Amino acid sequence: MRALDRDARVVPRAEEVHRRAPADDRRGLLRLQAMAGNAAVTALLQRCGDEVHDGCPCAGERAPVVSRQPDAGTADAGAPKCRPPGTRRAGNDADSVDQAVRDGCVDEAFGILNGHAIFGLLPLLAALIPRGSFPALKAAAGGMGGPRMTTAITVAELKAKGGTIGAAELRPVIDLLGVWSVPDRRDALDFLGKLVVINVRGLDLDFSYCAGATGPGCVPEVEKAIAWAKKMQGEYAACRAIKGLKDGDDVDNAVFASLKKQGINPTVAGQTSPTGVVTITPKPMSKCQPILIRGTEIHEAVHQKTTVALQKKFGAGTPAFDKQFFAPAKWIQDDINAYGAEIPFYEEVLQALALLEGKMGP
Amino acid sequence: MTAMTVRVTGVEVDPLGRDLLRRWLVTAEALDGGGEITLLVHSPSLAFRDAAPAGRVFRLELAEPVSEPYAGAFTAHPVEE
Repeated sequence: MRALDRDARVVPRAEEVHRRAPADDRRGLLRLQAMAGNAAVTALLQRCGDEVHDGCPCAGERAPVVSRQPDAGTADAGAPKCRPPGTRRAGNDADSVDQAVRDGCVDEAFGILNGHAIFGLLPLLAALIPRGSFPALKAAAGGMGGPRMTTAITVAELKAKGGTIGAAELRPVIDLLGVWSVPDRRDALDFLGKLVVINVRGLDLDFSYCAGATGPGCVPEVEKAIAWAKKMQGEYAACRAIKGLKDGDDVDNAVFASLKKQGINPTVAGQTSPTGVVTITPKPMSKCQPILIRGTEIHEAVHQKTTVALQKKFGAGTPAFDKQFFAPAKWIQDDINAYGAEIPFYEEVLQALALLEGKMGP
Repeated sequence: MTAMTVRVTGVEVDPLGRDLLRRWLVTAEALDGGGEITLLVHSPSLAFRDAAPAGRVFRLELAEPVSEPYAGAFTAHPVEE
């Protein structure tokens, strides 16, 4: 038993070997020096460098490669400083991001931040604002997280300032939120305690549709949509006076020709590739897009209702159905009705936007 | 004229707002040649004579050369499966 105890005492545990190995090596060399003299130690350690001399014990060796060794005195010596996101402090992203930035691991920090949805990102950023690492984090936000991150930081900082958030503070944020998705905009406003919603025919309107500090709200765009719907009603109504229209396609072609005559090209210009494929240029997303999408859905609901009614009456795909479906007079009236359904929706949107403007505060 | 049999896989308001008259984007899977075609239409229910064309198979006849997305005239005839 005693021998075993002694063995147990002399054989260090693995981590002790790791920590103490350099010290033991030094002691070993000192013992060798004491026992065998300087020549033996020199023969072991001496390296020739760039010049090799005859008789040098290392004449046949290559020059040693010098590399920095990890600090043997720390518990995580040898472990890489930066880690895969989420592996630093499990369950505590604020601490993980903070520590990662302090260690210069900006990639790791933004790997964590960028993985968060807005509703999680905003409180996380708010928790990071008081930390010493925040200025460095903020400085890197544009490059590492893009406009989504810089806007999120602006929102978090506005919240962190405390106090009442009025229109003067909110409008610059509204300018930034315009390119965000509807749920993200809502989460940001909710985080700021400024989520006021007015539902208009299935569409939730909030402050993100209002005017910003520099950008306009959705009022001009909705007014344009009303004007377009009224114009199109007029265009379809004018087709009633055109003789010889055989079906719905003829009606649509007549409307298209009329618009072209007025210099209006409803299709955004496209590009033709070398293989002849035309790609129609997309328009950039606007903050008012959800309103226009809802208006288009309301328009389509009118066409759907007509289609279903004709199917019920005549049977889908029957000659009687086709005759009614494509009849020019019916086609014209259906589009007048469909554009007509958009107009009251847009007018209600304008009323709701005016109400929201009034609720934003000073 | 190009003809193809397709299954309509998606109907949505064109998120990119590329055409003031054709505001709907219909995505369809070409069944005879493989691949996908996207069409800008004024109204999915009028273009396909079906209030809910998603999931159904149609024979398309495109009057103009195929473009991406296709915004020209076409006819759609339902194909019974």
